[in-house]
Amino acid sequence: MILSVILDRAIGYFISTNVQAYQYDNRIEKIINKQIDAKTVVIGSSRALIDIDACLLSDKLNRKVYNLGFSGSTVDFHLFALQLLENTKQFPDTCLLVLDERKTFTGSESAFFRTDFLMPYISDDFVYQKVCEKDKSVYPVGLVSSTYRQNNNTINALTYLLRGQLPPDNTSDINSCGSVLISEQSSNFKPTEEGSMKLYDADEENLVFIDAFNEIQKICQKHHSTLILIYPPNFAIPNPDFKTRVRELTHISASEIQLDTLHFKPDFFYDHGHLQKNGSIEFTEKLANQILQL
Amino acid sequence: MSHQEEKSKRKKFVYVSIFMNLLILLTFKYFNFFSDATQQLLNLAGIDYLTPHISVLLPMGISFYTLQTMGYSIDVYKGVIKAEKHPGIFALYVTFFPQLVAGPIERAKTLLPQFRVEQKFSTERALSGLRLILFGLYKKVAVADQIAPIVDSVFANSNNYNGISILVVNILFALQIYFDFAGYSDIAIGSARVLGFNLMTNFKRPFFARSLGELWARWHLSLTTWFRDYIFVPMIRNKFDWRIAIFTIYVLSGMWHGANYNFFIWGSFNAFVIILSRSMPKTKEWIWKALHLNRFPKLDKVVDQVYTLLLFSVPTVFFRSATFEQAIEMFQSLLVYFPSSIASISSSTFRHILLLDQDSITWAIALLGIVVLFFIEVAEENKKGWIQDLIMKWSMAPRWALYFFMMFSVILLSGAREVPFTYFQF
Repeated sequence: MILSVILDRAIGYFISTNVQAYQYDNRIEKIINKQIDAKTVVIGSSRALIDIDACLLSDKLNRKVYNLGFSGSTVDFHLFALQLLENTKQFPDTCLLVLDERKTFTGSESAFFRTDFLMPYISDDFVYQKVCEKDKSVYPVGLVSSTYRQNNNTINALTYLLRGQLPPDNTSDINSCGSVLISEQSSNFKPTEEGSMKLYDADEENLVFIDAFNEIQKICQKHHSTLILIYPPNFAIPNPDFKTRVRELTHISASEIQLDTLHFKPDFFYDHGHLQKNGSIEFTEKLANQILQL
Repeated sequence: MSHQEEKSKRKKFVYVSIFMNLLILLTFKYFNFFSDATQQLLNLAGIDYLTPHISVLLPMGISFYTLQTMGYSIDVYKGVIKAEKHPGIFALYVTFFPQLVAGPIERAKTLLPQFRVEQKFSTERALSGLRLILFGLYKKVAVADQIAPIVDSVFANSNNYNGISILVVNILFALQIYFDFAGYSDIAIGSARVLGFNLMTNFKRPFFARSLGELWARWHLSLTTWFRDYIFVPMIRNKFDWRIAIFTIYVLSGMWHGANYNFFIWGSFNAFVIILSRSMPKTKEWIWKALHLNRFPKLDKVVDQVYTLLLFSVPTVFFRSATFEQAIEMFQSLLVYFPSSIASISSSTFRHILLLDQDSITWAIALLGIVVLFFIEVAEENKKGWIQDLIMKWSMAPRWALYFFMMFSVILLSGAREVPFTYFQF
């Protein structure tokens, strides 16, 4: 019995250490280790991660800004990022929530809550509870068995041992402020075709996302944190119905910065929904000016 | 039926019982298949009529407990056992949870009496059952479920593979389904043993067989012996040609697995090979002489076993494929492109052709499990025993090392994905 406990803990520790070393994007680890020394954070999906250069924004605003945008994540994940900051007593003074017209309130939460970003850090109890809630894992078993808790990380831990760290890509090659700046343009981007956003359909809304948006407002209000809602540029005609809906759902005094009507030249875009590096710089400068005027 | 002393008077009751059992099975499992077949015939005859379909969930385990209850009725009819008068005990016989969902299909004369024996907890028996459950979990989680993603990805993109790649995936699927079902059987038998009940062995190391016939005598024993005792033997006693009897039981066995042409072809292929090998017993001797392999008598057994594995694996493409068309396409691709696929193996194509585009870590984990079980089965075959008993002769350190290895393998590898037991779908 004692031997099995020792083995269990040793295997769990071994996997946990190696899977964390495997990650190139270690921002969740930074939050857990209370290394986010920033009074302003950017939260959102890849729109936040790629479109906003947090280092440049820090310089312009003269305060530390850190980017906690996660590619492919949904608003309930953005809420979790704030909850994790709260749990580690690093809640920022200002939250810049980047809104994605296509996905903020619609879609399936089970498909898009990025538990894969959290898996390497499930040795942290707060993170583990969230993963169990989303993955329907058996929480009490993970409290007893460290190996069971880490079992989803087995392959990545082994991959690290055999091949070293995961090489960065366009969603994980973060800079010192947490942003990803992409130099090239997507081969699928057709700048001759300016698209239109799909008409906003409230019937496609997911209550989980609506609730998460409400909780983001509540948590900001609780910590007297300024919430700023940001509409970044798309290479498409924006949909006014989405903004109307956001206003309906906003019940605190959150500021809005609408930069989605900017007519950026095609060179600034990576694809129809994201900016490449020059575009990010241009957008960040305009964003900084707008924030300073608030 | 039990009130009738003469066998002839019991006949009508057994017919009613068999009819009712088959009616339930045919309705839930085969109605739509026969409806589609009828539709095709009507279309061929130019008759414009839409045959009905039913949309019902298949009750879990129906293929298993239907055979079990039919076997009970036939045994009462034949006078092998007396009818069970206690409804609770009979209900327990039909719904005994360790074997309800996917067998083993128990005989009434071995299982029913056990329910009348007062069970006392035995530590030794419980530990034996738990050991068996551990081995079963290892087979299922650490081996079968690690092979499954490789097989699934090939069958999901079967157009991208041909020749030897299809053979590799067929062999993998044969191993997957064996470890999956044998693992389930171990868990079922182990669970029953913990409670004090003995269920029949369902697998006897089938890949050590030296012929396809012998393989089936070692595979899913509860089903193969059921078909042997209740269909094959009566057919032979009624002067049916042995070839017809063999064809019948293998086609029925195939169709028992699924209501579509794939399983019909799969069963027929096995029947054909067995009939051919029994009709021409000297074929192997002739081939060995022609290839001068009779100079290497020690190779005899190994070649037989490899050949049997290939004969079993190749038609599994019909078992696994989603559609008849896919099965035919893959089978053709295996045969037509086999020589060219071997010729095109190089350092740049190796990963696609032989590793089926899978990561080396995925292969390493799957192969580790296969190798461990291979050595276990070699030990069992050589010693003519079962690992859960053989292991008790080991000293404590290696025995517990194996337990820990298996236990932690199951815990470590259970996280990736949930793979249902293959035979639950039947």
